[in-house]
Amino acid sequence: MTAVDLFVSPLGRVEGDLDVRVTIEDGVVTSAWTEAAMFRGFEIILQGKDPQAGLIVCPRICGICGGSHLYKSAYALDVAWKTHMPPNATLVRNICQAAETLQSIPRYFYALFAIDLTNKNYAGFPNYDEAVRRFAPYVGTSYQPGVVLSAKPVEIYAIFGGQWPHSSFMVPGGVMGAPTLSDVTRSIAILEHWKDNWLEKQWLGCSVDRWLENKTWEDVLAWVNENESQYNSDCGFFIRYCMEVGLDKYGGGVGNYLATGTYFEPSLYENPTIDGRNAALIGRAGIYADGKWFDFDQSRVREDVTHSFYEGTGALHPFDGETRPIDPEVGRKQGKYSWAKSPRYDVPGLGHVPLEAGPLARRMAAGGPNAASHQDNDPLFVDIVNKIGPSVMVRQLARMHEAPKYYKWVRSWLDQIDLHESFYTKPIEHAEGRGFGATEAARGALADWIVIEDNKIKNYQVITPTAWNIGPRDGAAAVGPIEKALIGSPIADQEDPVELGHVARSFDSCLVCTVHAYDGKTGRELSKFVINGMV
Amino acid sequence: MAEGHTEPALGVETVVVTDSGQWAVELVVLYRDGVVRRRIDTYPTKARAEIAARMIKRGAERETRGPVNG
Repeated sequence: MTAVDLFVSPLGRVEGDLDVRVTIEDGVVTSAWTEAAMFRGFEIILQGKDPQAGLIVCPRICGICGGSHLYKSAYALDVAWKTHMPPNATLVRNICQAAETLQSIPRYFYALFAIDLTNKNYAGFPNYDEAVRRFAPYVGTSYQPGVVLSAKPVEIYAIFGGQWPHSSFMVPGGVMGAPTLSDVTRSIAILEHWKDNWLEKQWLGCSVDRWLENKTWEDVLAWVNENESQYNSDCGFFIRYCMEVGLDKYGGGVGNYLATGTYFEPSLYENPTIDGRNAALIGRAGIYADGKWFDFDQSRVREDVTHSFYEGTGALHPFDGETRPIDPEVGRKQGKYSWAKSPRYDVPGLGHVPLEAGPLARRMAAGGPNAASHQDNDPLFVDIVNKIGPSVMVRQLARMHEAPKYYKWVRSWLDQIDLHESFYTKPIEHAEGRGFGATEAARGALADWIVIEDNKIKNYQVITPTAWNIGPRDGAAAVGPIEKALIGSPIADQEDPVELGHVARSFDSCLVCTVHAYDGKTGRELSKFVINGMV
Repeated sequence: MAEGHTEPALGVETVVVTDSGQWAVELVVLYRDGVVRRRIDTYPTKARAEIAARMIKRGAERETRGPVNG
């Protein structure tokens, strides 16, 4: 038996650093450590500031999901200040949050994930040349239009929000601009252009409605072979190629999922509260663990720092959360190895366990029981996971499945805006309060907890989807979701472990989205090399 | 010829060849027990084919370039 330690840095393609150390025995990963490699400290920046500082600071946490950061920061203040939210404001917030995700889906797929499908190690497979033809960086026949058209949805964001990224137009009580009829019609035209030229023409090869008829894995397989257009679409090819090269066979992860949900039914969330949140959601919140569904309850969230470069051990709820960094060299002597904390959720009957966040988690929540009429009720990915299990392919497919779904939602919300009604209700700025705001960034559950005292921020904690996914081991030594997903992955070439990249990137980890991250190396190194962020 | 996971590729190269007035990019992958040569696409000019050949090679071998934090 041969064992080797690989140190791979960085794996993320967006920004920041995700360092991964894996132990390989006989060509299979047997253990993994993910390290967020840069300290960020946004919570410390926010302490003592004006309560609205989060609206300015948080969107800067991430360059690609800044809108999501603004969305949940605004809702955290809405809850803390007990604002009134006009239905129009809810619609505009929904539209912009979804527009950012619609941007991310093709941009992430072509620019960050699909390039690895052209790796030379796949040259022996029959469809390799087609993969290179489509997905080669910059010159691929699908890469170019996919990346270019990914910019269209955030044009809609810019119409409503003034700019993207880093807008701060969502404020407690609503949004800062009242759109005109021209703004709405332009937005519809842009959305339709994106749908016609990328989503239907290039990605699906069929109508949005035809794809959304798929309710089971068998439906998806039949859809691929239904006609030439679908078979040769990027989606059809992606499914065929994944099954050819084995991306449906590894990268499953912890198999337990968390979605905080996002998008509100305007009539049900005019007075944002923590208690009223789940019922008002369109994109549902929920926990799927050990084969059962549970309601999401923010009071069950904890962040563990046992293996993170912060003072102490154990776990705290974010309202009581602390961010007290220590010297990594001191931390390593205590067994700590990452700047990311370990978010955990107290699942009834299971205790505090790691949960995967992201599109697959959203799809599992959407397949849960007791959906209200306004809520996402979609059995497709529960069926897929039950039949073939989670994997790199399934996680990717879940992400892509949201493009047609969210397109239809955005189109509907644009139609519902009432230009004669208000978009903002001036709030009372309470000197004391606690707020919780959450959303689903493209990469998964994203939430803020704010404590206001004497008109200042006493405590501010952000838990990002990347933290949920890349968090290190907790006090019980339970591995994080990506660590778990890496274990069991086959590694054909230790000099070019493309499989690790597939797994890590299938979570769409955006380390800038991690509030705590750093750059460093731990453990014994038998070999060390860099696989690149950008091509 | 080796298949994907079972046999790692040793190297990759791209070449530009003429074909009926066009310029074609071919990808050549070296294995321990042989070579795989795949025609990827054709282009109307040699310059465009050479750009494509460079990008295809960089993608196939994940060559490290560009800013890490870009």
